[in-house]
Amino acid sequence: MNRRVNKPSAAQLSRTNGGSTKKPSNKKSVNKSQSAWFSSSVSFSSLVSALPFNAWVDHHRFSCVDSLKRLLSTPWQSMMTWLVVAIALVLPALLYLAFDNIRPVSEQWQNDTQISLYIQPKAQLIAIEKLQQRLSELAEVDTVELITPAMAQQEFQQYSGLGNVLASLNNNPLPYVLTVQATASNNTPEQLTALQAQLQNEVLVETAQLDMNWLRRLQEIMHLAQRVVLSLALLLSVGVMLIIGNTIRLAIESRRNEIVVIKMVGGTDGFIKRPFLYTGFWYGIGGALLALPILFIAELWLSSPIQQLAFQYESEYTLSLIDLNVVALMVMLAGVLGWLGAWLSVSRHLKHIEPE
Amino acid sequence: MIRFDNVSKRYSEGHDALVNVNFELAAGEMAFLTGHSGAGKSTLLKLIMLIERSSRGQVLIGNRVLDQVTRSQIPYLRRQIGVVFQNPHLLFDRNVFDNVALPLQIAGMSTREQGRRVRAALERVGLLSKENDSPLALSGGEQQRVGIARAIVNKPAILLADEPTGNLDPALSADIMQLFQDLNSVGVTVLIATHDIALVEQMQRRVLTLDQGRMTSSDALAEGAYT
Ligand SMILES: Nc1ncnc2c1ncn2[C@@H]1O[C@H](COP(=O)(O)OP(=O)(O)O)[C@@H](O)[C@H]1O
Ligand SMILES: [Mg+2]
Repeated sequence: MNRRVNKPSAAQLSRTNGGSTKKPSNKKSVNKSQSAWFSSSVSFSSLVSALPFNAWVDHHRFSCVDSLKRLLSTPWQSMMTWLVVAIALVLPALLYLAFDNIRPVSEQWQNDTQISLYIQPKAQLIAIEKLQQRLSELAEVDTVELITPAMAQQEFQQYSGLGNVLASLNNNPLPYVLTVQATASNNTPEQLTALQAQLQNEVLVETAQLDMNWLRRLQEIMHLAQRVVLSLALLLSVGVMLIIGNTIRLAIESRRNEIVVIKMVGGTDGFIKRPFLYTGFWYGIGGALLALPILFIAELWLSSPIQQLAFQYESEYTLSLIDLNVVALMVMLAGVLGWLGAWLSVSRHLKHIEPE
Repeated sequence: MIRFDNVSKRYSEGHDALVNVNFELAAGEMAFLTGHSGAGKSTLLKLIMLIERSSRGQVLIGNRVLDQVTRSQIPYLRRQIGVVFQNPHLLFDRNVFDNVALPLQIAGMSTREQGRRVRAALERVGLLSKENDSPLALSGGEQQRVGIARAIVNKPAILLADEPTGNLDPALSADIMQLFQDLNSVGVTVLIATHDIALVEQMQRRVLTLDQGRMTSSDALAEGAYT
């Protein structure tokens, strides 16, 4: 007798194998021979290789909720990871915030940049005043201020504490000075340099001095700071991934038995990975949410020195709080980092867990 | 249904666990796999489950050559094969129902259908009344039966068992064997590895015997009926 007509696995497996549809006749014979199997009429055909879409969505939903529940069921343990993640996120966020706040101040400084014209010692006051008048009518120039030697001396005495030295001299050695303030739309370093060259050509002007070096340096420092913040953010992102990856490794280890059973009864890698990926996601999200109050407190603490700094430069200045877009971006980024960290971890460690 | 063609298995340490094994088990057949401890019984079952791969020769399940089953296809193969171990490997963080439902969840079956199937499987092993209990609250024999319910819940064509009665006293062992026989009578191909010769003799079924990795007998008594 030929009982080998019953080949359910062949039919079944050929469907699991990329959907090739050979041997349809086998499927029929399966149904027949399996009809006695339990009272139900359901047979092999109800088991398909690819997870039905609904079931796939369901498992995502289940994994998402279940992994969060698991984290909340061991609050202290989870809190430790969340805190570490939060700290790793707060650091670059805080630097970004400081940077964001210093930038307008530095722009303010830039606005203060002026060109000092040291006048020939022999020049007549009337000629100097004419020059002042003419310069102030230039399109690039906002204001031109005249500082007489007497005023300069007074100021010098006031600020240097060397007043007596000067007073002991018979003649005031200081020259007339015109300070030129460029208009707001004409004070980039390049424009100021051009203006300086132009003013240097004036007959009455001995030296036109633009103290650009410190401005350049400030700009370079700002660029550097930007890079430091960026690379720190990158490094700490990798750190967050590794921390979460390691926590996931421990979670995998503690669910080893379950993983073995799932593999034994035909769970795919995707099915096994899913809850761990969501766990990583929640570690990221939780860390970011925890970072927010820490950031807020740090902001308040930073606000007073920054405001003082701003006050010194006479700018109307209010602390810019980290804005909602940045917050949303940070939370999402943290979730993605957690997911990635979990993915790396689970891909590495799942291979080593096999039924024995 | 299960066919071994000159199959050898050498573990990476260089130990030959199976040497030139040949046999065929027809669909709907029930057989025992016996031999001393270390004879290669578990290894043979692992080759069928693709927990291990053969070093030489071919293993065929339902005309499918296992060498050609890729890593990503293994889960789908395993869904066709129920397996029962000496230790039932139950998960203690969930109740009996959820333990048995696991293979159905993995296959993505609807919750309603899962309920029907799980209860059918539990009824078959006589544990319908315990569906809400923790496996921890069950006796050893009951735990083993939950393991069997989980192995058969998605109606596999093949049921493998590795020392399923190893931890049980003779009366419970007889119960479990009766269960395998019942399953076989509804068309499941059953292969049971055990070194309990007394039990095997009681059952009057085909016997495959391994000795040092070689198959010394595949029961001439039944030979004519299956080839
Ligand atoms: N993973 C393994 N690595 C190396 N040797 C193994 C492994 N598993 C089993 N063996 C060896 O293969 C032989 C057969 O083992 P096994 O199949 O477990 O026998 P049985 O189940 O009949 O007791 C034994 O000598 C055992 O030591
Ligand atoms: Mg064994």
